[in-house]
Amino acid sequence: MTSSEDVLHIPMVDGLIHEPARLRLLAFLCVLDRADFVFLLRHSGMSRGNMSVQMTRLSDADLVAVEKTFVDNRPRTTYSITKKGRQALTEYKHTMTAILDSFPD
Amino acid sequence: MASTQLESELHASYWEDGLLDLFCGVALLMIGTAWWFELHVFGPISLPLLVPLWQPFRKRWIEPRAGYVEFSPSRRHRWRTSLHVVLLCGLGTFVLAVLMYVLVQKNQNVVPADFVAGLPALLLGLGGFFVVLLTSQIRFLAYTFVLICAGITTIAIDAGPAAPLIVSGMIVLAAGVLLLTRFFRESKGLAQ
Repeated sequence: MTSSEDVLHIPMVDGLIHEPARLRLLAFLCVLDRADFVFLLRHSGMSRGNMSVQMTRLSDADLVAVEKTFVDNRPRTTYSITKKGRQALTEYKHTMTAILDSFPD
Repeated sequence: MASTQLESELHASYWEDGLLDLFCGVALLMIGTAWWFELHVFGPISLPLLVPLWQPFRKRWIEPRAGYVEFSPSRRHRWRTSLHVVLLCGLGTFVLAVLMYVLVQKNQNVVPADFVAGLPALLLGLGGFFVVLLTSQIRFLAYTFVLICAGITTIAIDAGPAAPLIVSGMIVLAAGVLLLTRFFRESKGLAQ
């Protein structure tokens, strides 16, 4: 049984990033320069509505930058990860590594 | 930024729609047809004719369904470098093929004529290896196998160089059409 002191040593996980759908989207964006809605939709396997909601939450938190343009008279919405988003993802990676390393084998 | 498996998989997915197969099939058919009508000089112009069409076709047919993506600067740099190496190898191969053709014209004892007839298919088949390196699409190894078999068959039965290119071109083109059809069908809900 763990003592209360042990509980304090488990770092807090960023709940905004920890959500599976948002984590997936950030994982894509951190290895790409930018991608549009359709590309992310295709690879994430999410519904349009769900993805739209998740991207809005990420952009509201300034983790993702949104750019709306027109290409050949068709609207295009592209996303790219911000510097804050990269830092947050790096911190999340360290946090999760620390937590998982503390698990017994 | 070092490449990750995720980035590599996303980059590989960029080439899964079948458009590249379609273009390669058309190029092989153009080269084979040029050889068939003994207009050899028109074979090499297939590349400068098709390359400018790539971007418009991709933008019109593929991007609305596959989406738009910009890969990382390091990935783009690696791609450009690899492409330059492939183009240089292609140019070197073309020069070699022309030299051998000239040698055969001057002295048939230097290189057997039937071997030279199979050379275009063999050399273009080797190009398939480079396409696999560039795009991570293993199916281009199958196209390489088809071209090499066609080239060897040409040498064995003492046929002309046009037939293996036309037959291989039709196979690659058909594969491209099948892949594109599947891509369009799977993208029905995604198209903008």
